[in-house]
Amino acid sequence: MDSSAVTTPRRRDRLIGRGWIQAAALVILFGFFVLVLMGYQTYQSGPPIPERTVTPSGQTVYTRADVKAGQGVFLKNGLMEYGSIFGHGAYLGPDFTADYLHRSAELVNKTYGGTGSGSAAQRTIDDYRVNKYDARTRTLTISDAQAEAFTTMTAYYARFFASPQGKTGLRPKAITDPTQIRQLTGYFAWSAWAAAAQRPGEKYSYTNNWPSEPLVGNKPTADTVLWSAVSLIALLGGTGALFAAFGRWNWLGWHGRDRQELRFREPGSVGLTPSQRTTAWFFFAVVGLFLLQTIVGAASQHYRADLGSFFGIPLDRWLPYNLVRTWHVQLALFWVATSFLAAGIFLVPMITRRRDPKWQAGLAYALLGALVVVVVGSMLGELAGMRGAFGELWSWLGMQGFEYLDLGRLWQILLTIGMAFWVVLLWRGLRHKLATESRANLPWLFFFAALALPVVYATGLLARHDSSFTVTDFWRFMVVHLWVEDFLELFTTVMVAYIFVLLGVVREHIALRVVFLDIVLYSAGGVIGTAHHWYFNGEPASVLALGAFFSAFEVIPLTFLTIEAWTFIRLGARQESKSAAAFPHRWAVMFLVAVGFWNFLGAGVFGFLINLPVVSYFEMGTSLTANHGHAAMMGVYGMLAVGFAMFALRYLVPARRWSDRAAAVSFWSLNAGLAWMVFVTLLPLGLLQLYRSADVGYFDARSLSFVSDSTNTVFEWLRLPGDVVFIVGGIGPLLWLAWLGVRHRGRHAAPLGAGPPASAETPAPAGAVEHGSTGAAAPVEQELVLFTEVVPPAEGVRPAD
Amino acid sequence: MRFEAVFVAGYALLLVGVAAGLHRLGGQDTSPWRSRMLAGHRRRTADPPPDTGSADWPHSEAGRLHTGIALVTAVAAATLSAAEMVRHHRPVEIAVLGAIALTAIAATVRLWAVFAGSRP
Ligand SMILES: [Fe+2]
Repeated sequence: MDSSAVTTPRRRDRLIGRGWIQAAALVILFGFFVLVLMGYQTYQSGPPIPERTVTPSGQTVYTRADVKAGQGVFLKNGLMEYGSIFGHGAYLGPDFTADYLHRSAELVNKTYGGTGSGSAAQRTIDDYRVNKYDARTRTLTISDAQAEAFTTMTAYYARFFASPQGKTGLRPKAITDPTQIRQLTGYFAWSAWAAAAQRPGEKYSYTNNWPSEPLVGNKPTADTVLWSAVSLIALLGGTGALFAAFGRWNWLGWHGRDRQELRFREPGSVGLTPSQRTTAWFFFAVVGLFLLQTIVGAASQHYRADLGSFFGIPLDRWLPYNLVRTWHVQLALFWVATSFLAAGIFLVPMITRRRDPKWQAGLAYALLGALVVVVVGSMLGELAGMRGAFGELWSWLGMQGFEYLDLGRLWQILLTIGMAFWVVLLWRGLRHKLATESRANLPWLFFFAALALPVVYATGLLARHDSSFTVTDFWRFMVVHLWVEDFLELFTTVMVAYIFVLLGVVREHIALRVVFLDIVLYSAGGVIGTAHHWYFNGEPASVLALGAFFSAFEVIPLTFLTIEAWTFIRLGARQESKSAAAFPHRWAVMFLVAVGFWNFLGAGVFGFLINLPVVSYFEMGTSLTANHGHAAMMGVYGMLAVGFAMFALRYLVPARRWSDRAAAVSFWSLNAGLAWMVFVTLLPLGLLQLYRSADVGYFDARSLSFVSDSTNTVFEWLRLPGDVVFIVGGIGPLLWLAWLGVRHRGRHAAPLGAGPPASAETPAPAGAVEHGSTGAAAPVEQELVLFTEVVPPAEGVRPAD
Repeated sequence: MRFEAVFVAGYALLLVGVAAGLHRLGGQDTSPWRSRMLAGHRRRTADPPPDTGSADWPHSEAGRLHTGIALVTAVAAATLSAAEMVRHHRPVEIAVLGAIALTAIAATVRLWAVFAGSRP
């Protein structure tokens, strides 16, 4: 052993069966194979953008260049953060596809004689449904009535966007240039054409007949109904099958013969490396960004309650709805991601139990500095970009404008580089540990899961503002769904599992199985399930079918891993009672309990509620989406990010300054505030809006007059107390704890390597039972003290496997 | 009854149901040992682990979180039906909304007692 330690360190054996690895590899390959196929479909089957759209007499109404430029105007003015296109975007303003479709169809209908005429309705439907696009000449012919409607609609949008008194949530006189208005109208007109014109050879439109619009004969397709039913069956069958399988085979291998003893150390006796101490600033930034996110969120919420003014202040001049909404969604990603990055940095020395490599702390500070530059730069860019700055470079520096990918491409690239730089930091820290580990063990999985974050985020760069919308949306959801819902989730699972392993409350091989189970379940449901965002944005019916079927399986891990999470925590409970020192991470674990709860409710229940195609058809872009978004994003990732902060801050703040009470107030306020927001406002409003959409029509349910009617306004105002509890009671104490973290930065902690006199009462932990293998392989350096000491059973019983 | 009043009454009633359901869900014993997932394993193992009841930490806290959220839900139901009575108050509306508000308040009181009583 001693000689091999000097030359080539022997890798530790794999702790998981070959079958798990093969299953994971197969499912991943299958998932990504289908995803690539769908990508091919996206490029092949999206609605064409005609070179010219002409009247029967050959007069040009709008061109391909107009449509593309119109999409640019739409994006750079932040209209996707105001209303939506093909149902995708923000929820205050109208859906411009449905808006144009409805208003223009009404005009056409009137031209043909209106409601008094028997044939007007049918002639209108024919005008919209018959596909008069000639693929050979790439020319679309529309009726004279439609061309006339286009002119009227151009004037309408000129008034709408140039409105000097605001009252729409947009900046007063947001868009005044007549050329831009015409291009924008061309873009809306094209999207409305694609929403109603039948696909060649089919009886439904390019968008699977979305949105519902009686004037043009748009109603749910047979596929929409059929695959909704299949999706339900898949959910029930899949859940049943999984539970049955777990009853039969003991895959995860919990066992009750685990007699090892845990002794938790006082946080103050655990020495921190300089890089761990940098995370105090990270977590301070996290809480600061969180606070800012809720404040701009409150401002955007105010627009829904009162479009006119902000208690007398004309907020829309400088902080219009689309700007605060942009910041709200961007900051959500920023603060959560910053917490994850910090947690990764904090965890590495605990995994390796070695000192930092040279410059590690300095590099961590550089990373934080770069993050601040990206956050501030991108947000100012969005502000300036929406006001028309940057000229040709708008998509690079200003508002690129895709919801959730709002930041300019330069910032997007810098953020990707920042995450890659973070992976390099982790690599530097983990290098020696990785050299001695099997590639299927936790340290490598931790590294791979981290590596996936910049790689998958980078795919968002393929969404180009001048591509067809269907194509841009394909790449946008690589970030919004695949990155957020799958790869962040995977990284999360690995991190949480690893923390439990390091705390000694879960065996490494059990944690590994949970991670692999997560990989298998998410690759099956989540990867192909990305298509649940593409039901109606111009993708063919086959994509709708795949999305509906596979995303049903995505719900299973959400609810299932929650149950597993309970058992995880339970295992810890049993052993905790044996420890003399109190378990120091009560509140960090509580936030994990909250993650489990909101995963079940927000992601599982509220997510599935809107996942069926036939529901999504009427629901898209309503408050029910916001309901799912808030409960899942804040409930799962937000709580987790706060939990990570609690975990690290417990070491960074000296015990005499630490306040469990502050943690408790924050915990209950965040949960109560979120529950209030969901149950008092978002859910009932969503249900009302869904009903309206199915009853009257999608256009009406998304109109400003409905969204700001008196019933809706009451629900919006009733939300206020919950928001106050959330911000003041939830974030206030958190800010205090984070501030304490920055002030003390773990300086009180025991010196590195020295460790507490734990050996006074027990034998030294010399390489705790499972995770301390380097202790034997590299005796040169003294190990850092870990927060838990694992004392093997007296008889020396080998842990059961 | 007008549409808005009917909607709020129905929704508030649903919330009271959700509150009761959440509270019950939190009381579920999710002992890994008794889990159905381990049925096969249970048969094969001779000595079960020392039993941990749902009162043990942190399981007790999971139950407490459910009860806490249920409490918020019940308060929400009471608030919504009371606010609706201010907006719409024909006799029948007062009767229906009032009955639901009272139910919600009763649920709130009960849940509060459980929640406060389970303070560690
Ligand atoms: Fe998704």
